Amino acid sequence: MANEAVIVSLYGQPKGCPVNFKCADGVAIEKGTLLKLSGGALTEVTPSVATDANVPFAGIAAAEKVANDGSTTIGVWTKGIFDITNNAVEIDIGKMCKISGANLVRAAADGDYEAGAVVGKVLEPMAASEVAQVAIGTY
Amino acid sequence: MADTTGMADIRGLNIDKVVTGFALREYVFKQLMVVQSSSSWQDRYFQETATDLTGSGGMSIEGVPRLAAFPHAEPSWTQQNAYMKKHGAETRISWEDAKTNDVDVVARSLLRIARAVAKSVDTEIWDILTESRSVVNINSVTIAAGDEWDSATIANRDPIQDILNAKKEIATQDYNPDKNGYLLLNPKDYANLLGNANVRNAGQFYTDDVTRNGNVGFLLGLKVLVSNNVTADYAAVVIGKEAGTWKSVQGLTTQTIEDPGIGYTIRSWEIGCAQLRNPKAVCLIINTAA
Repeated sequence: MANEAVIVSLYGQPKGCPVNFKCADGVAIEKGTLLKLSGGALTEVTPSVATDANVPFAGIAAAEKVANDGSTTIGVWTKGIFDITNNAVEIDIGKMCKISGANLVRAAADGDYEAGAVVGKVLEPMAASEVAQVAIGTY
Repeated sequence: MADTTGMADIRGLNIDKVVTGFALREYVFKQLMVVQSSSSWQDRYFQETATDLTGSGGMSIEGVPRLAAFPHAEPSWTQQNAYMKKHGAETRISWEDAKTNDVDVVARSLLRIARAVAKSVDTEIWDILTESRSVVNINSVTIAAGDEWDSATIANRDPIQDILNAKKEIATQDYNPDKNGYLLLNPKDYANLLGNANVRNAGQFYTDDVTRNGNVGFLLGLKVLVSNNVTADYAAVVIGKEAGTWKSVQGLTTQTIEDPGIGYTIRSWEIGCAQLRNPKAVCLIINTAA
């Protein structure tokens, strides 16, 4: 994988408000991966993938999970500012963004709130393919 | 699948847990400052106008006639206010990583987080002493284009004169650059300086240390201080313990906050501010490199 999010600042107490999510034992997850809610189980997450367009955002992986390490849970950051990579056209400062490919985001539309797809608020102008700060957990 | 001889999975593996691949930069600028403690967020001081007083309104101090009124003269002061800044950083380490990683992540994080704060302070001091290289109140000497210390025309290189000019600028303002004076250089300018023929061959007033061991304590009466934090293309002559003051509310402090079973927060901070109290005790040398 590439373009994993990088911590700029963690909000809340405890820092980043890490939440225990479920995941499949066989999945490999890099630290900083944008995770989506999916699968059949309660609060199960999987990494975002290239074809993702309208998927519910869960958070950002707080640690690396090795495939088949016997673990079926992962800590997920849910509040903070992260450096995240833009996929598509420029996103204006202050706009909301959503998952658009593996670890990538694009501008969100009204319907994305309903779909739970919003990642967070863009804190600086975000040109295509550019890394910029995004506040997650801010809606 | 079970492995037999010749297969990779049963080959030995040695892991050296000492981290390598880096060198720690030295942070050296605080020694130039007068360090004073403070318990206030705002720090006020006054700069006295440097110019000597003269008679005003055409009345000279020299030649006051009998019974005549004396010329009026009054000093002036400029109020300066500085505000403290907190330099700080922290990181989070999970309990599992702290206990099981090959790298001693807690110890290394303690060191690197604290150094990040020290670097921030060092950078602030350099920026304050040099007015962030946008000269307003400090002295400056600008080396002409083509005369840089690494100029293609070797005959044009004259760092000794450039440094002497910087000392002259300070001395013109009545400060004594020979008293606790420092020459701040980055490694490139340091190499260009010591490689200069005028410096190498100046045995008649200088020791042979330049070519013998490269250790240069003093040059032109200035203590040489080399740091990567000196911005490329610049050098500076600074009178130590006179030009600047570091007001310290709290010195560099690092704490490990343990959250049992969850992890560690490693936090480092320093609170203070750098003040350029005697700007004319600094001379920035501009355009040292081509």
